[in-house]
Order: sequence, then C-alpha cells, then structure tokens
Amino acid sequence: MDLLLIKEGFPLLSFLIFLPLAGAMVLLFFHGEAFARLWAMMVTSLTAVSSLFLLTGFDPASAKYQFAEAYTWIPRFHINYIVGMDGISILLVLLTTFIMPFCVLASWKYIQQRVAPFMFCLLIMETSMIGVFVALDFVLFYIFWEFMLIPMYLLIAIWGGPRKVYASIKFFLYTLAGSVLLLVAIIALYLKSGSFFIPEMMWQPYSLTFQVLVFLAFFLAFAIKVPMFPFHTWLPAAHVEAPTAGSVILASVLLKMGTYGMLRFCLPITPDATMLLATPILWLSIAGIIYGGFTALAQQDMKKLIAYSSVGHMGFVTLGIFVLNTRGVEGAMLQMINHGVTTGALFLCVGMIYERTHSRELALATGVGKYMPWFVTFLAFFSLSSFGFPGTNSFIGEFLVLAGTFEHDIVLALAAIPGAVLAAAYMLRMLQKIVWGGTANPDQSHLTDLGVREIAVLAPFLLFVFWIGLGPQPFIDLMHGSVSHLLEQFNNWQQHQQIAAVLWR
Amino acid sequence: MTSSFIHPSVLLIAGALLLPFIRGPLRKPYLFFVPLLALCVVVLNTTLTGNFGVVPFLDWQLVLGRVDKLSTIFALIMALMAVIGTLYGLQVDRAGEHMAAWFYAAGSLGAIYSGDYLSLFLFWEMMAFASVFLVWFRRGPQSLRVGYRYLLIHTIGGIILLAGILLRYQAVGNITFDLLDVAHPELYTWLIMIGFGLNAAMVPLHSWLPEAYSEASFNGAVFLCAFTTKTAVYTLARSCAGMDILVVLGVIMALYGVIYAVMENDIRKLLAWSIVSQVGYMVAGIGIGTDMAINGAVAHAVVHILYKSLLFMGTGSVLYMTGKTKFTELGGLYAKMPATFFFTLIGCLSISAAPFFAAYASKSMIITAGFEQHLNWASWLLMFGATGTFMYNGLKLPYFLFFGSNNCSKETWAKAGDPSWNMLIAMTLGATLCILVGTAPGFLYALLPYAVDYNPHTAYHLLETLQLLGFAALAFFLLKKYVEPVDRICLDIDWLYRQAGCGFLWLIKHPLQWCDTAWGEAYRAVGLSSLMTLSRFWSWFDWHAIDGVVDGLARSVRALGGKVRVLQSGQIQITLYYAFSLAAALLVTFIFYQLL
Amino acid sequence: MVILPELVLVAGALALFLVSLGKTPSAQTAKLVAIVFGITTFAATLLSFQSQASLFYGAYAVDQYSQLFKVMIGFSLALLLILGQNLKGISPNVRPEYYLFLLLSVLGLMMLVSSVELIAIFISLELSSFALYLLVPMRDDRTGIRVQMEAGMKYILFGVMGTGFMLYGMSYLFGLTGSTYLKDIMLVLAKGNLQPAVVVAVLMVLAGFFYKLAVFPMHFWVPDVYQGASNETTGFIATIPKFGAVALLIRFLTLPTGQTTFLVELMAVLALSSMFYGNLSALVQKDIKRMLGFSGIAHAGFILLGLLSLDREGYGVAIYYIAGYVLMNLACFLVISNVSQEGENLRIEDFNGLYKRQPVLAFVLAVGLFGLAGIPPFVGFMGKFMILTSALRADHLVVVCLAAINTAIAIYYYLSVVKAAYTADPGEKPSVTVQPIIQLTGVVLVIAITLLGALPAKFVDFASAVVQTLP
Repeated sequence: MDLLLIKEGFPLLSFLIFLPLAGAMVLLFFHGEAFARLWAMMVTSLTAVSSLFLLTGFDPASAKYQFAEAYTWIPRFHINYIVGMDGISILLVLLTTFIMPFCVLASWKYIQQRVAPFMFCLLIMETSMIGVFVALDFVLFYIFWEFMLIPMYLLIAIWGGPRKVYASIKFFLYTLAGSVLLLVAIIALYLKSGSFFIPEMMWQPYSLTFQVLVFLAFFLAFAIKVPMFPFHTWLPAAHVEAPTAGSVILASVLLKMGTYGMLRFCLPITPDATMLLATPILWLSIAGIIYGGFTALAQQDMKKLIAYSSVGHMGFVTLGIFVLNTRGVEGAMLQMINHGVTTGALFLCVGMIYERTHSRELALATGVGKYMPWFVTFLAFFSLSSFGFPGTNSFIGEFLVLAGTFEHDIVLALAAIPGAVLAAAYMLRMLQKIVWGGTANPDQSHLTDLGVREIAVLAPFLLFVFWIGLGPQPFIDLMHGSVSHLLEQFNNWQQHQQIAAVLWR
Repeated sequence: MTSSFIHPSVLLIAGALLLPFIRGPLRKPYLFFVPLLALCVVVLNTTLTGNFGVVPFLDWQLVLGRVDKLSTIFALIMALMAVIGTLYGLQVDRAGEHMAAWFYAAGSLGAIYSGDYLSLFLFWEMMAFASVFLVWFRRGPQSLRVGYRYLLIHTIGGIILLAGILLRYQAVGNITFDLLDVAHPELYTWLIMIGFGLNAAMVPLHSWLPEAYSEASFNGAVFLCAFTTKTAVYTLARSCAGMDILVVLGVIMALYGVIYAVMENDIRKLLAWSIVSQVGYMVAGIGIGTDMAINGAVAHAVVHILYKSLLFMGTGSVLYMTGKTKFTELGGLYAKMPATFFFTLIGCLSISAAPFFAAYASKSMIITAGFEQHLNWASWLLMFGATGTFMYNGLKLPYFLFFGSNNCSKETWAKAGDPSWNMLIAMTLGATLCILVGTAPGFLYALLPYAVDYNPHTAYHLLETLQLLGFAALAFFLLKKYVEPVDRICLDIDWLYRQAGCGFLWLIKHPLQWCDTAWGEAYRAVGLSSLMTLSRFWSWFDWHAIDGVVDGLARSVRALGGKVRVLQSGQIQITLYYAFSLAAALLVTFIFYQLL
Repeated sequence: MVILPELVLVAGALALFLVSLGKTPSAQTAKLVAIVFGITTFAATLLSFQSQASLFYGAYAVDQYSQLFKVMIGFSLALLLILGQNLKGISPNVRPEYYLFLLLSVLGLMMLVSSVELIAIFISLELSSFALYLLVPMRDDRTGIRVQMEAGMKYILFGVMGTGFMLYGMSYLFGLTGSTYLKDIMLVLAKGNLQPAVVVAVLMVLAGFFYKLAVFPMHFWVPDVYQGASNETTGFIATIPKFGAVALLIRFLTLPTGQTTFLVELMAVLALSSMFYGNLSALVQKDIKRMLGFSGIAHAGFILLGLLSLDREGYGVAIYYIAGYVLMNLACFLVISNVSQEGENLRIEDFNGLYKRQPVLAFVLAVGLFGLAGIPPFVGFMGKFMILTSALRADHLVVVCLAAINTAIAIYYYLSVVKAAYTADPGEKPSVTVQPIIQLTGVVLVIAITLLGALPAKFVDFASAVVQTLP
C-alpha cells in the first residue's frame, strides 16, 4: 500500500462523502420547504468550503493517492473501504463540491412542489458523485457508480418536463445496461489480481485477450456515460427533460465520470488493449465532435442544442485522453473542468430563460437582448467560451488537446478542425437569435432582467471561465504530477512489452 | 526596461469596459480621451526596440510586445485611426458600438505587437468578433445575416490559421511569429498564408469584404476599412515576404477590384472594392519582397488607411445625412454639402495617386520595385490598375456624387447638408495628413522598416503620372454621358476594354463576373443553407436511426417477453405437460451425455 | 429444550384450534394469538440458537445449520404476521383456521431444515406443503369465478408432481445405498463406484425442491398461484418456504454423485433458463403479484447460480442471497397487502401516486424493488455481486455474463412500478392508511435491507462457517 499517503487525523474525504448523506437523512424528518432550501444550501456550501482543505493539504509533486483512508470492509472478498485522491481526481472533486451549491440556488424558485425530496436527491447525488471520484476500491467505486442512478432517475422522473417518463427510464436502462458488464469485468480482474484495490490491478501482466475483453467491458460502460457517439442518444432526452439543476449536474459532473473512468482504469489496467484500440476510439471521438456539431446546429430546443454540443466537447476529451501524450491528457483533464464550468453555466442560463418564458424553444426566446442586457452579456461570454474563443477556458483545453493530437497524428488533428468551426456556427446561431432575433420576434417586453440571486449564481462561473482562460497554470500544476507519472508508467510498460516481445522472438 | 512598455490594447480594453459606466456630459470627452491616450502610449513605445511583456504560458513564451520598425509604424497608424474614427463617431451614444470599435482596435494593435503565434491568434479572433458588431449595429434588414456570414468566414479563416500554427509548432517546435521559409513552403506555410490572406481579402477569398463593409454602420465602416485588411497586410509582410505567389494574387486583386469598382453603383461598395484593389498593391509589394517593395507596401498601407478612412468618412457623412448610398439616388450634392465634397475630393485625389497627394508617394514605390525586379508584366498591370483607380475613384465617385444629374428625391435633398463639427474635424485631420504625406513624404519614409533612397518628386515620375491621369481624365469627360452608372455600365466597361483589347474584355466580363457571383453564392450556400440542411439531416438521423436502434432493441426485448409469456397458459394440463416433457428431455440429454 | 421453536409453533397451532372452536370465532383474538406466537417463535429460535442435538434416532439434527435457518424463518414469520395482520383477503370467520394452517406450515418448514433422514424430510415437507395448499383457496371469492380454487388446484397438482419426483428419487437413493440416513448414504456414495443412477436419483430429489424454489421447469404453478392466492398468502408462499428449499438443496448437493460436471452444467442451464424465462415474462405483466412471481423465478435462477460452484463458499453466499431476497419480498408484500383496499389484486397502475397517498409505503416499496433489481447499496446488489463472483471463480464466464445481462433486463419492470409510485399522478385514487406498527415494520425492513447490503461481512462469514459444519 505504499501507493497510499494515509491521512492521519481528521478523515477529510470520508467527511466530504458522508456529510451530504447525513444532511439528506435530516431532510427525511423535516419537510418544510424553506427549511429544505436553506438546509441544502448550508450542507452543500459547508461541503464546498471544507473541500478547500484538500487544496491546502495536497502535494502536486507526488503521484501517490493522498488523503487516503483504508478500513477493511468485507475481508472474505478482500473488499476494503479505501478512498484517496490524486491529481487526476482532485479537480473533479472540487468541481463537484462547488457546482452543488449553485444547483441548489438554481432550483430556489424553479422547484416549487416537493422541495424536500428534491434537495434530498441532490444531496444523495453529491455523496455518490464525490464517492465515485475518490473510491480506490473497485467495489466501492461500483457501488457509488450504480447508486447514483437512483437519485438522478428520480430528479428527471419527478421534476422533469413533459416526456420525463420516457427520458428517465431511458437514462436508467441505458446506463445500467452499459455497466452490468463492467461488474463482470471487475470480478474477473479481482480473480486475476486477488484484490479489489484499484492500484494493485494496474500494470499487471494480463494476457492480451483478457485485456481486450476487460477493456471492451470498461469502454462500453464509460462510453455510454461520456457519452461517446454513437452511444449518446440518452443524453439529449435526459437533458431536455431534466430540471435545471439536474441538467447542470448531468453535464458538469456525471459526464466526467466516463472520461475519468477511461483515464483511471482503461489506461493503467489494460495498457496493451488501450494501445491496440486507441486508433478506432480516436476516430470515434472525431466522429462525435463533428456529428455533435451538425446535430447541435439543427436544434430548435436550446437544451437539446447544448446537450448535443456536449457530445462534441466530450469528443475532444476522449480525443485528448487517447492520444496518450502529456499535452493531450492534460488538455483533456482541463477540458473536463472547462466543460463542467461552461456547459453548466449555459444550462443555468437556459433555465433562467425558461423560468421567464416557460419554453426552451429558440424561436420563443429570440430578441430578449433588448430587455435582459445582463443576461445576454453572461450568455455571450459563456457561448464564446463554449466554442473555445481565445482567452476563455475552453480555448486552452481544446488547444492543448489539438496540440497533443498533432503530436500524435496530423491527419487526425486536421479532421478535428471542422468540429471547431461547427461549434462556432451553432453557438453563434443561438447567441445571435437570442440577442437580436429576426424580424419577427415575439414580444419580450414583459421579461425582467436577472435578479441579484441569478447574477450571484452566474458570476463565479464567469470568473472561472476567464481564470482558466488566462491563467491555467495553477490548474495544470495540480494535475501535472499524476498525469506525467501515469504516462511515464505507460511508456515504460510499452518499452517493457517491446523488449519482452523482442526477447521472446 | 520592460516596465516602460505599455500595451495600448490594455488601455483600450480597460477603457471599453469602463465605458458603459461613464454617462452624460463626461461621455464625449472620455470617448475622445481614451484613444488619444492609446496613441500617446504608442508614440512613447516608438522609442523602444526589442521584446517586452514576455509571459510564460504553459510551456510557451508569449511575447506581447515585440517592438521594431515594422510593428511600430503599423501601430502608429492604427492608433491614429482609432482616434480619428472615434472622433468621427463621437455623436453615436450607443456605448456598445464604441466598445466594439475599441475592442476591434485593441485586437489589431495587439496582433501587431505580438511576437508569437499564440497571442497573435488570440488578438486575431478578438478582431473578428469585435468587428462583426460594427456590422450588426447598423440594424439593417440584411445586417444580421451578413454579419453572421462574415463571422463564420472569419472563424473558418481563424481555424485554418490555427491549424497552420499547430502544424508549424509540430514541425519547428516553437511559436515565435517570424518570417517563414517561403523558399521551401510546407503545408503549414500555405495554411498560415491562407489564414492571413483571407483577412486581406485575397481573391478568391474576398467576397466577405464588399458585402460586409457596405452593410456596416456609417462610422463602423471607417474602422472596418482600416484595421482588418491592413493588419493582415502587416502579418503577411512579417511572415510571408517574398512569396512569389503573392505577386500574382496581388496583381489579380488590384485589377479585379478596379473592374468591380467601375461597375459598382453603391458608393460604399465601390469603396469596398477599391480596398480590394489597393490591398492588392500591398500584397504584390510583399510578394516582390525587396526592401523597397516592402517599404512601398508598408507606406501604401499607411497612406491607404489615411485616404480610405477619409473617403469612408466622406461617404459616411452622405449616408449619415441622407441615408442613401446609391449614385442613382444621389448627385449634385456639392451645393448642399461643400465641405464634405472638398474632403472627399482630397481623398479621391490621394487614392488615385495624384501628385502631392498621399498615394503618390507610396504606390509608385511598389511599381518601381517591380520594375527593378524585372517583373515587368506585374508592374505594367499595376500601372494599368492605377489608371482604372483614377477612373472610378478620382473622377466617377466625386462627379456622380456631387455633380452630375441630381437624382435626389425631395426629402433626400432636404436632409442633405454638411455633418456635425466632430465629423468635420475628423475629416480635416485625415485630409491634412493625406496632403502632408503626399507633399513631404520624408517623415513617412523615415518610419519605414528599411532605409529609403527613393524620391517620388522626380520630373520623370511627375510627368508620367500626369500623362496617365490626364489621359484618363480626358477619356472620362469625353465619354461621361455614357458613363452614367447602373444600366449603361457595360458601355463604360466596353470602352475601357477597347483600350485593353477585346479578348481581355471577354475574359473579364464573363468568366470573372460569373466566378465572383459564384463565389458569393458559394459563401451564402456554405455559410447557411446547405450547412443547415446537412445538419437537419444528421439530427433526423440521430433521432430516427441511432435512437431507433436503441429504443428498438428495448422494445424487441419487451416483445420477446410477450412471446415467452404465452408459454404460461393458465391451463394446468398443458403446463404439467411442459414440465414433464422438459424433465424427460433433461433425462434424455443425460443419457446421451453418458453414451458420448 | 432444543426444539423449543417447533414446540412453540405446535402450541400456537393448538391455541388457534381452540379459538376456531368458538361459536363466533373472533378474528381479533385469532390475530393477536397468531402475532404473539409468531414473535414467541422468533424469540424461541434465538433462545435455542446455540443448541446442538440429534433426536429421533438421528433422524432429526439440531445443529448450527438448521438453527440458522430457523432463526431466519422465525424472523420472517414474525414480520409476515405483523405486516399481514389485516388479512383483508380472508373472510373473518375462517381466520383462525388460516392462522392455524399457516403456523403448521411453518412448523413443517422448521422440521424440514432439521431433518437429515429421507422419511423425516418427506414428512415435514408434506406437512408444510399441505398446510400451504389449504391456505390458497381460503381467500374469499370476490371475482365470482372462484379463481382461488383454481389456483389451489394447480398448486396441489404441481405439488403432487414435485413430490412424486422426489419420492421416486428417494427410493432410488435407498435402493442404491440401503439406508435412508443422509450421512450413511453419503458414506456409501463416498466409497465410489457410483452408477449413473445416483445422478438420476439426486436430480429427482432436487426436482422436488426446485418445485418449491420455483426453478425452471418446475415453476409453472407460480404465476397463477401468486395471482390466485390472497395477498398475504402470496407473501407467505413467496418468502418463507424458499428457506426450506435452499436448506435442503444444499444438503442434497453435498451428496457425492460422481457426475459433478454434468450436474453443474445442468444447473447452469436451469439457472439461465429460469432467469430469462422469469425476467422476459415479467416485462409484460400488469398484475403486480404475477410480476413478482416471475421475478421470483428469475431470482431462483440466481440462487441456483450460487449453488453452481458446489463449494462451501457458494453455499454461504446462496444463504445470504435467499435471506436478502426474503427481506426484499417481505417489504414488497407489506406494501401490496396494505395498499390493496379490501384484499383485491393490485395492478401496477394501482400504485399511481403512492408517494402522495402513503409516503412511507412508497419509500419501502422503492427500496424493496431497487433491492430486487440489484442496485447498490441494497442487499440485492451484494448478493448478486457475491454470487457472480463465486460463479466466475468456478469459471462459468458465459453464464455470468448472461446473468449480468439479465439484471439489465430485469430493471425495467421493477422501475415501471417505482415510476407508477413516484411519478404518476394519483388521480382520484384514495389515500392509504396503515397502522403505525406496520409502518414501523416497513422501516425496520428498509434498515435491514440496507444494512445487510452495506455490511454483509458478518452474515456471509457466519453462513459459510455454518456450511462448513455440514457433514
């Protein structure tokens, strides 16, 4: 267990995981609406604040798993409660803890009936999301991974839009069906390596066939979660029907779990299979980027448009991961955060329009620029960031990814470029319609501009858009240690394999 | 030393961000003050040379302030333009429009000062996105669509550039923005060149320019005409000097612009076309690539900014006062707006390189450089172009705008008149500069990147120019009753072409005409409709094909369930029969199992 | 007092018999007596938990193994009596008899898990079965087509068939080994030189218990009986008898047959067919009990999968799984029998908007169903996980993959009920009122389901340890 940096004293990670759960339990007994809102706000903010201690205690230089805690759980099956965090997960954990308070704020007015259960679901979500990112035991990981489906399902199915039943069941079935084979793969790995402790599964000399099978099982589960073309169709449905907070969580955190999984499991556990299958996956990402762009361009529903744009953006992430060089992977990591910030913010914006016009139709939201100057200002910045306008966060991410891709294969990189154009096209189309609209705008004069609460919700996102866009170094530093360590091991593995092959021949 | 370098863009951006909060009486002084400050800063920077504002970014070095002669002169003229332009648009109280303009100027200044491709790209995009607002703010029926198309094209250009940059980074391993190895062009050389060229409105990537500029708001056009193309010229001069293909492209642009300008009826379109042709000269100069040629290109860029802005201000005043931009709706305005007429005339003379007017000092440099390089064909064509320039710009524009038959409607005539004081001041400024540069080009030459041993005011050159102009003028006035714009436009060209030979005429009339419309259409098509149809198809495909498969799978499993359930008929005897027979089957299999 | 639980049950049966003799038998007293005795039985099982003995000439073994099952049975019985105390489906005047037979049937099961001799096994099994057969038609006839009679008939006929198989197999065993004592049989068989007949014999005996456990192809009775019997009865049929079945399956699987591979493959096939059959047909069910019946068939397949490895590990896991399964089913039936207004069958849409009509029940139902669907952190997931692990350790990769796919199929119908309860609009459906004690029971069940799922280590270790003690 020398991979772990056991945290003496206060078990911070467990605290982060179980604080929201405890908060949720309280909501089981007190149902007051006002109380529920305030309480959820308090709990999520407390979690966010205490998650800041992760930053102070985190040592970017070491590639070990820090803040680790290990307790035996089910000795008969060598299942332990092990949590820990490295440069790959820290940003995602922080993203999660910091998104949640804004989700609560965003639902302040939006959710009017059954407030307490709603907040209950949100808090449960937070627990399981943090759990997924810090779990170092595969069973623990899987438990959080699956359990998340229930609150998310309820969020969509109860507080969702008109086609909520279809969307929610589709979400549940699709993602669950994707991850059943993941379970089998986990068990198979356990039987090979004799432990569910993830780091001990890495860099083991599994046979190639075994690796490929495991990889495919992983990939199916993660690709559906990402979602990668062509496994993406649950996303638009879910996004469109989910309430604002749901969409934000979905876009900002849930999608990241897929890419996180690929980075955390596929690369180190099945390196040979990764090498073998990288190319088709890269092309799949390219397809996703362009496909997402085209479909987004055709949408009339703002949420759907953003949902499809997510398909394109996550395509960039997978692209960056599977080019397997530092720049690409770091770009991908950064892009995860960026997408979390930007798309989350965009969904919040759409939610705010929806609260006023009670429609997500682009056609009904045209020309609000005149009456909601603050709103369109925010929207403009987030849209710019969304298609990677220089100076905003996504530009850095996509630039790094593209740079990495050029290192890997020029054709591939050139193929990705039309995606960027399309991104600009659909985002500008939406922006232009919303801000100015056409000649036949509906009468928007009844609209009121953003209130203080809403501005307070959006402003921090804007801050991060520009902070990452102009000074990404601190973020890169956080992840650099772990990423380079990972790739280093990966390359060592390659050479070792080649040498072995040579010797064998 | 670094501390003493102040980036003008920072000032402009900061100023722009503060602008909305400065209201009431303070607004106008503030508007005037900020660009002026920027100009002063630039002037201060002229004392420096070297790289400043070096910022480590990820694992690259960003150079935000690369100050040398080339960047300095461009920075100067751009800052000056910012002042003049803002002054000209002073009475516009829409804060957004000024903010856009300043961001635009900031972008161009930033691009000029930046010493690496990354920050260059950053400012490059900033320009594109700031400038589109100048189009949108006219709020015309076309503006939105035109602006959207303009933006799309520039994004594409930006992406191509980015691809080139990344490829180059891949090959070379650094991102310093410097002269490319044009002798052995790689893929990335071409990509970068195209990326810049698109902003320079290189034929055939030019269609965005006329339609966008003629759609811009009256003071927006003043900014537009200065920054985008000239920044592109700067970047070309910086990176692609001496690239032979540029000569060809330049010459084509020069003539192409002339022809369309001559045929044009909308004054601002006419000016837009003439930008294409003038930039052609610069591109050609850069293509020639000798010291003198570069000097000429740079000098021409500078003076071109001056007189073109002057012209746009003049026509802008007409638009602003009358709201009309077509020859066929104007004419004989000299009586109503004499000052405007006067300044416009100066502009016209300057552009047509009349002696002692601006372009006289620069255009000839390029042509001479061409002869020195024995690129005679190019030089002759350029000269011929110069004649054309005089035709449409020196004579046609002022004549049909201010003299000629008065086609003004009642209210147009009533509205006509000289514009407000600030516009006049701005125009005065421009006009003086034009004449100044034309008569005493020394200080301009002093600023040029290379040492200049060239004096335009030689007897020969003077004579030559006068001959050309005189000849053109004579022809024009002889035939001016045929040269009435619009319907009889072909006659005009016919005559022009008889000089050049009928084949040339045919060549120009049909294929090029066709090409241009085709290009225009292509942009329109690519820009929107076809893209939209394609994307609609894909989204249809997404719902029906892919999602169909997913849902279909689920449904079919459910249907299978329906089938299986039939086994479970309620009738006891049947189910018993099933159970027994299945049990029997199991036994039989076991027996076989034993036998095998 | 090693057989205290059994005695308590007998006493309870007698008491109820006395109650039933009264002119106008009072349902209330019957209920009270039943509940009291149910709880006492549970207490008794706990008391006699540690006791070890061998009675009736070694035909009746009281060991850890049997006592473990007895505790589980006692616990479930107590819960069942409490949550089903209203007996809406049974007309008041037969309730004493109803409880009487219920207790007798449980008594039979208690004896079953302790019997280690063929005749004893047979007798106790029949005792429990026949008591059970009688419970089914006791439902009062609301439909007018006397569906409960039909259900009872089917149940009996199938039961008879199953018993027939079993007796036939037992006779083989006796013929082959000359003894009816399991341990002697085991000794003889252990000597080797086994004829194929042994497998036939074992298979036939197993068939009897497959019938109880509702494993394909002995499952055909399930849906009709589940649907025909009253909700409480179904709740009983679906839960407690499974304990006996599993206990005995394990006992018999420990017999050496010499044809292990065949047995394993056969069971694998049966397990898979049960899962697919159960899940696929459950997808299209409207009646909740019928649906749960089919899901029960699928789960029986899973239990079989656990036994597949034919090692102590697997047996322990199987016991854990069945315990969890019973808990979750009890939760579901608690909701069903209380949501049903006067004991009628419930269709899935009858749960519409349950969250408004009775939030606690809705919550219990959701937990139970998600548990059955195998979503963590509930016991259903842990059981599924461990069973898959043990099956994969015995490397049945294909089987495991197919089983995993089955869980994906299953989720749909569980989800459709949750959907009805939580997202659908109640419309004009009446609100549901339940006694607090039942709500409490529900909460207890929820906690048990979650805790057993989150902290399974103790239970599994104990179960596996107990299985070690088997001869």
